[in-house]
Amino acid sequence: MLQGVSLRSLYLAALLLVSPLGFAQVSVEDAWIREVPPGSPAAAVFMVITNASDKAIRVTKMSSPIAKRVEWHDMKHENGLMRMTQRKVIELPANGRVQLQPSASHVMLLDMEKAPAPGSQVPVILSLDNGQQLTINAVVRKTELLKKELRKPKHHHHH
Amino acid sequence: MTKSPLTLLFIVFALILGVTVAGLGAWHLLAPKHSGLPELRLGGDFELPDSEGNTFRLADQRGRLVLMTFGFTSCPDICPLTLARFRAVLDELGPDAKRLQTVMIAVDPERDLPERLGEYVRYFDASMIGLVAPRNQLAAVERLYGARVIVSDNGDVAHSDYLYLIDDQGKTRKLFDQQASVDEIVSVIRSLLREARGRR
Repeated sequence: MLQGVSLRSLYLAALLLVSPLGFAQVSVEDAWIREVPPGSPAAAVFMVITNASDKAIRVTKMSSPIAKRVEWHDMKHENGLMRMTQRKVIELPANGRVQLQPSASHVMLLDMEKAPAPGSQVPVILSLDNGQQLTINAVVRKTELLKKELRKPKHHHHH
Repeated sequence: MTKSPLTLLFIVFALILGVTVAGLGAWHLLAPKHSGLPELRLGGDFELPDSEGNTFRLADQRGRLVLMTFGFTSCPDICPLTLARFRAVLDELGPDAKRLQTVMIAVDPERDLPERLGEYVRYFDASMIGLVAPRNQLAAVERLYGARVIVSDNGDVAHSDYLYLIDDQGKTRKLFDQQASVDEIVSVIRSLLREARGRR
């Protein structure tokens, strides 16, 4: 038993050592947050998660310093009704990509004291059952829908 | 009295010009200004308290258009996207934006407290109005507009996400879904504004 535990921690230590060298099994790209008003207690984080390993990996815990709770939500649109449900078991399929995108799925930051301003970066931490811990910096993006807004340089904020 | 061919030509030309001008004038006066959009059989006048404690009456908006949605302040994806779309529509309308009132009806009164709701809608545009009322009062308006709202015990909310466009007479003329582009919404608004001008 004791031996088992120490072997496991040795394995974890080894994993932690190799992770920064680019052998991370799970990686995240394009993390961003939809802008919400300052008084809003909730924000949606979108990202693409890749599991490059041959085994399904579960997300065991999610957290962020700006939110009291972090949950995974799936959205479903039926007959003009938008329905949002919490996913309790989050499994990243082997050799697969999971896309969290608008109107589909998001990691939701809940009970925030203050919503982050557009342009700011928000750390979101995902703990995985392979021992890996991912810290993602999600940037808050202003929702720009007009062609002229999209052409605007990013640092340009006046209206 | 003989007329020179040049004078004749001039008379013919003047006649053609006269008929053309008269025709254009008549067309301008009589041509249909109707947008071609039918009056939908849902919606109608209602009144609800706004986030500032005033009573919003749809009937007070006669002469202006109203772009309306149902939402809630702890909604992180669809609602801010819809209100950002309202913001872009107002931006794109330019001077005509003053002829459009944007409204969000908040469907989660336990959490959509007036102060938070006011802050929420004003963030997107200072002219935007947020309405919230006790659940039974909201339910009557939801029924009127065929909107469905389900609040689960765990706090999850499911709600209709249509955008309602109401004309200067208070008639619902168009429902947009979440796929509608800003350009499409602006073009329908402009056709209803033309129609409203034609009525005056």
